[in-house]
Amino acid sequence: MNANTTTIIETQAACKFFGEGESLVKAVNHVDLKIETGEFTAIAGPSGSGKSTLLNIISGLDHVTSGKIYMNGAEVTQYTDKELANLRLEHIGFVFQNYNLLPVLTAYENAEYILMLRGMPENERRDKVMAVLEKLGIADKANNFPSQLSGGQQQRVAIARAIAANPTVVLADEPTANLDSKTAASLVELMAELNEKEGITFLFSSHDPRILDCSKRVLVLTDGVISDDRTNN
Amino acid sequence: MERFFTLIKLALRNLGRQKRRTFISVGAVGFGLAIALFFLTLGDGIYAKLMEDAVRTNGGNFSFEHPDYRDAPAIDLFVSDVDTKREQIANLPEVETTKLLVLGQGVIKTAHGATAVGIAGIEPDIEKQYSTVAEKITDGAYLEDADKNAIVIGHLLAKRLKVKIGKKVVLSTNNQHGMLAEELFRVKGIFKLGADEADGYLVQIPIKQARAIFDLDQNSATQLGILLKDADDLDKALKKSQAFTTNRATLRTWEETLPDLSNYIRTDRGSNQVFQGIMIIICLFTIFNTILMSALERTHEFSVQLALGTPLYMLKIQLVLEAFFLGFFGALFGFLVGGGLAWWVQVHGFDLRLIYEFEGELEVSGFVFDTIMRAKISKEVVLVLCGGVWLSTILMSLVPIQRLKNIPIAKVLR
Repeated sequence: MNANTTTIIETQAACKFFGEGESLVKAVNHVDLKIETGEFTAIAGPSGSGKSTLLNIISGLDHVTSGKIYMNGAEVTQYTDKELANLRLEHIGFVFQNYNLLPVLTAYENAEYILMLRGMPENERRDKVMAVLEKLGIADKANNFPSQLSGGQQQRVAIARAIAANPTVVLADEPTANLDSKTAASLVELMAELNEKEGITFLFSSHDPRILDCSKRVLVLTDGVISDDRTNN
Repeated sequence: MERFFTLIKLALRNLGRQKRRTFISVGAVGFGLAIALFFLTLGDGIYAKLMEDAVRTNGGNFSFEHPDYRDAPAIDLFVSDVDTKREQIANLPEVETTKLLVLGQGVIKTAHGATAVGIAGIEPDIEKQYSTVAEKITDGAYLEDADKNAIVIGHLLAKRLKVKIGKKVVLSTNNQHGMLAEELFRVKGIFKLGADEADGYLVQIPIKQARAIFDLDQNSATQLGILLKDADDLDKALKKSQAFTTNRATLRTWEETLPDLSNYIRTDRGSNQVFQGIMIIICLFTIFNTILMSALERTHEFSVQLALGTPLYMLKIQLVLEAFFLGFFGALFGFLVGGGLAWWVQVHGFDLRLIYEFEGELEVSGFVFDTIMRAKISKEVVLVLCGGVWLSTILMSLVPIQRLKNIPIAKVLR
């Protein structure tokens, strides 16, 4: 238990290498970082710098080659797949670049999915999900399937799914990459507002200058190494 | 429980999103099952009818015989005190009736020649109700209990001996002591069963006179045949009848007394089952392909679900449920189509002559087929087939399920 109680995520010399020998790629190379409660942090860097890989090993979607990762003070590096799945379910909200909504579920059902997995009673779920959809301005799309929604609306549903269950942290991998500039800007504002008003912690990868400008903290990743860690005013 | 309902919803919607593929899969399984169900029940109906006709004309669903009679049929191997046994057996609830037969061989002679025959001493009143010989009299009349020196013969035998109704024939044989015995008979009826073996060899006379010729007492017979109300009660009735066996009277099932017919049914049923089994397996491959493809093309979705924290077992259940519903709808479709068709043929019958032309009768192992076929639907066949297809479909989902745990989530989502 090396982590501070307000520290949500901590990595210690986290490494993730792919391949071997001459084709060895050091996607994440001895990264040390701490994410505190309420942060709105962006991981910046060019394509291939290791942003997504870093998010993946933090969330347990991928295993580290070496090093340690702590979540809420508990070392998760040694977790089994089952424990990692439970960690993601209970503590992490995901927003993906491609939205990744379940196509056979409506917007409401997608947002409800994690709450259902957690076993929350239906009436509580309904109140919670509808409140979140309302907040994100897509309550009128609750019964629409993803194929009936625009990209921006789908990403809002993805954010609703991520925050409805009150996760410890929301990890977002290039959340605005597939959106037009106007939609991307409104989405960034929305996430910033959720961080500001609801106190939701965000950690996302991006090279979108709008996100980087809105971020309170920017970690710059170059060739798998954190080359800069700056705070925006 | 709510998780389970969500999984059911996911499974059904996943089937619904590829309607054409689901429809083709359900149709393939249903079609295969319908064909198998129809032909297997039709086969069972044919075998049941064939068996029923044969046992009613011959020694019943099972019979009492001398233990050595099957190995070397001879007139001196008879069952004594048959009246007492008959009374005991007749009290069993499964028994419809009992019949006595005295069976021997001899020679029939007329002015135009002589030929070997199989002599059957029968009880005319009982045979008239149950045997197909009485139904197939084409000339003259069948035997009556009160008849004396009356005989019915097959039409081929009559032709060979050039005899007609009312003409005299002499029956020569050896009695149970090996002594020559002869008796004069008048032809009362000529039958045409359609099977050369029976029409050219079998003669029937009243049992009293058969006993007299073979010098058997009036309380003895070669066979005490038992006809059951329901052929499916054979094992039950056999078990109860075991108590009445003696060292001179053992039980023989119809399969033992009619081995040719039994072997034919067994062989034909076996080949029918193999053929229908192959048909179902081919259809199940379609389902397997569907399930596998459906799982493979959703690797990304499964990765998303796993990333969100869905327990692996829930994804497995989701896939099993998809196979469960696919199999259910396929089995239901097959049951409705195949079962409906079989039911229609069971009720109305289907005449083979509509599609095939036969010269004379349809004969199998010396027994004549009725060309009007009726299916016989049994809950065992329906349950085994429909349940088997349903279960097989579910089991096929185990292959893609095995792949779930090896999905590289991060790589797929990248």
